[in-house]
Amino acid sequence: MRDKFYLSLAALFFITTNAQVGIGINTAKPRTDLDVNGSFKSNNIIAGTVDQIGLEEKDRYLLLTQNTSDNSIKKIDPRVAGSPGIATIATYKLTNVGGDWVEQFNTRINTTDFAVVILSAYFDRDLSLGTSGILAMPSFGVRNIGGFWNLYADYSGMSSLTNGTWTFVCAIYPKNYVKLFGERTKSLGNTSSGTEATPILNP
Amino acid sequence: MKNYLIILLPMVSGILFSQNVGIGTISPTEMLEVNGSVAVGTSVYVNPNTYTATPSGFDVLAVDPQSAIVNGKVMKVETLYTPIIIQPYSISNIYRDDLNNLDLQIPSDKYMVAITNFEAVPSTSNSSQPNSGIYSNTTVKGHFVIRTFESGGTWRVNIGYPTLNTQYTSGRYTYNFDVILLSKRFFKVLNESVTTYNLNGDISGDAGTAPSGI
Repeated sequence: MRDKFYLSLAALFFITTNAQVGIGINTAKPRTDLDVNGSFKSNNIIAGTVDQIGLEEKDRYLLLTQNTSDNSIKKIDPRVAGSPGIATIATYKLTNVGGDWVEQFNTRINTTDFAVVILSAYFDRDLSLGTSGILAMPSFGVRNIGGFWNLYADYSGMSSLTNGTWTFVCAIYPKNYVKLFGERTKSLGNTSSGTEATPILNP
Repeated sequence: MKNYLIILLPMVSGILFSQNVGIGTISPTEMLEVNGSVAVGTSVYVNPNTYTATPSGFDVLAVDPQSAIVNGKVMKVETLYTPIIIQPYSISNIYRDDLNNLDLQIPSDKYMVAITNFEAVPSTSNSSQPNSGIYSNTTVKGHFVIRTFESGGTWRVNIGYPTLNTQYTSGRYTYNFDVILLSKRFFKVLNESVTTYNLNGDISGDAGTAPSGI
């Protein structure tokens, strides 16, 4: 604390005013009304006017986040190596699967920190069935097995003559941004429609 | 301009500011109040306040890395230019079931696209030849493809049964689906080479490790 006190004192000696622009701390040429050439720490920032993203910025703006360990404000730019985004889009291609069936493929993405959603999936070759007149709906998704997200896919009751490839496009969301509720089950009681009694979004 | 530079520095005991400080204002209501813009050379630290209220009660903050005078202007994201864009499509009069290549004209270097909420509505251009769906009178039942792919720098949509067809050439389909447009400025896109695995004829497998950088 005492060290910081002296740092503040040192900074004050550099307070300069510039009649054309503003106040500088540790700079003789402030670029705005107050220009701090260094770091800024506060308990609370109340911004009077925050302009909204417009046509000029729409293709270049980046989102801001706050580091939970040191409270610093940082931008997120997933184009930088090793830097995450608000989600990761991964295309899993599973080749040479058992016919058309993937019972479980462990992505090793843990279910504590991430939510995984399949956006679309498809199989690459023909299904066949000994008897004609019957078809199957493709089913695919993710399930939690032992704390990891596992991919699954199948045309139930059908198979391909050769081992094929399933391609999954997945969104991997850190739970900082996405809330994942538990599964809800509901019987339609032998009818074709139903109504949610307690919607997940409470106004 | 000079008139706005009213600096109140009511310093008590030398260095410690015990009263509010105003720059460009004579009645600061906060410990430091700047009636104007503030630039910070390096990092900004703020003690965190968790926002808990209705979803409509806050704006998401963003930064413009190329703003004028000082790069890094803080701005808010409002409803016009959001990080996620969802575009519903209804593509009608498709020849039989084959939507082979719909060019969305969305550049693939800046965006990833995904399709979801798919619906297929059959119709026919000849009422004496109904479209009863995908036709197979053999044991071969085809396979259904729904995917986006890159070609010529733009994203394309491919939906259909590549090896099967409607029973008659007059069969038509309307495909309804949503395109989710994900900018690479907000979403990390993993190269497919990172996430291709050979299951060697087995029905289960293991990636070994989660993809890095997620």
